[in-house]
Amino acid sequence: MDPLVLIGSILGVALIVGANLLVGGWQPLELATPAQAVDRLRQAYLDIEPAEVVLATDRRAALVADASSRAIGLLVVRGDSVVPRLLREGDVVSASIERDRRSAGSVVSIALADFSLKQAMIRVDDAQTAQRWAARLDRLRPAGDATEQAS
Amino acid sequence: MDLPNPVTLAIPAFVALILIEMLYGRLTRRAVYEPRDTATSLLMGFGNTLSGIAFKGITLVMFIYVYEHFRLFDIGWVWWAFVLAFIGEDLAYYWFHRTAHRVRWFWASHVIHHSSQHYNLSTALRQTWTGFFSITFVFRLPLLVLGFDPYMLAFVAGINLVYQFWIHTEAIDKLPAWFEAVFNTPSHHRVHHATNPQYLDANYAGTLIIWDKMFGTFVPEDKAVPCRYGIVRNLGTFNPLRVAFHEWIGIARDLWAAKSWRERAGYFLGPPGWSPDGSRLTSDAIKQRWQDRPTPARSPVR
Repeated sequence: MDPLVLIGSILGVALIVGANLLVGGWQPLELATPAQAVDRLRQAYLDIEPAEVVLATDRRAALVADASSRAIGLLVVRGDSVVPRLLREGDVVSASIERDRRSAGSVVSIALADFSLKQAMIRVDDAQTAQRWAARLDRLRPAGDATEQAS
Repeated sequence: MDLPNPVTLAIPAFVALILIEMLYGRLTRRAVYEPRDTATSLLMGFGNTLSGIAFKGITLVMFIYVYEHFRLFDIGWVWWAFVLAFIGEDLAYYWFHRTAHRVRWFWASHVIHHSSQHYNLSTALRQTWTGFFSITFVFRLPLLVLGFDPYMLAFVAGINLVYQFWIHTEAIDKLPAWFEAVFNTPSHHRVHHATNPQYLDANYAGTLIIWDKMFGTFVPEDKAVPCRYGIVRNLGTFNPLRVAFHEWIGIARDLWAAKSWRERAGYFLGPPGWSPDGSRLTSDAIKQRWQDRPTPARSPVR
């Protein structure tokens, strides 16, 4: 390959990404309401029936419990897009609760067995809510691996 | 005959057009660029160029071998051969592309091109690094056997790729009816990149949309159904390495967990989303569920 083409390509990438940062024009996505979160999830998983929904306090994630199964819908915002997952047994590596350093709330931290989405964090208002969702998520660890209660 | 590489020649135009679309999108909101998504698309394109350097030579040697030993006719370098080669290459592209969406082994490479939730000119450059391993070149072998020169085929394939760049945009609405009837256009290709159930597995054309119309895979864009771009299971990462290999890793995990050779064959050669118990959904199953859904339809929220 002509070194000029190689160098030109690298400069082209740098120029475009730099221009994109400078020009802007995109808005970080926020999940405004539980209904919006459910609609987003249903775009990917048509059959989900929400039993309970929790929106992250920063509006950048949501969890949706399915009424007819133990599956939990997860929505994570990446830039101006949202990444949905329907978590079933075996999809969760661990679910733990941390204190939210930004506010008085808690953070549900989920490690996933997913090569393209390894981790998700959901900030919630109170420790009780965090505990309830972490326990639900913990039940989706691989069979024989789940504990009674998430730590 | 010494022919230039049309893709290499087009790189400055690619850069300029992306910058123009970005500015136009900023002014009109008809194109959106998100920096991390843009960077990932461009790095995938750059990686594709590097992998091309590594493997293009091997492919060319194989092409020359087939041409030298198995060709039926001596077509030569006449002007009409370029026209026929282009049409033949476009037909071969259609079948490659259709297979790439229907067989997971081929999809593992092609999924990269669909992995952005954006649809802009940078998406056109989001290309695979592993195309060689999907042996996509086999779709061109019949053209070599017919007697088209390998260098002529490489040239017209490059022109086909350059054509496909400009159709990755939301900035252009519909073009004149005669053009939409014959050629692949931004409108037709938006449908191809959409994940809405009614748009799945449609419009595989490269340059000529007539192939989709001939083989029953054409779906027109419906203004009432705005396209949602990406893949059925969208990626949660902008890391180019994870983007490049995520489906191959998925195949490897499934093969490791498979309980029989039938399951292994299904995971490898079945459609994307195939699973032995049907717990995952293929595009056919998604379309079926969407058609069977209770009415009134749940309206998507963008």
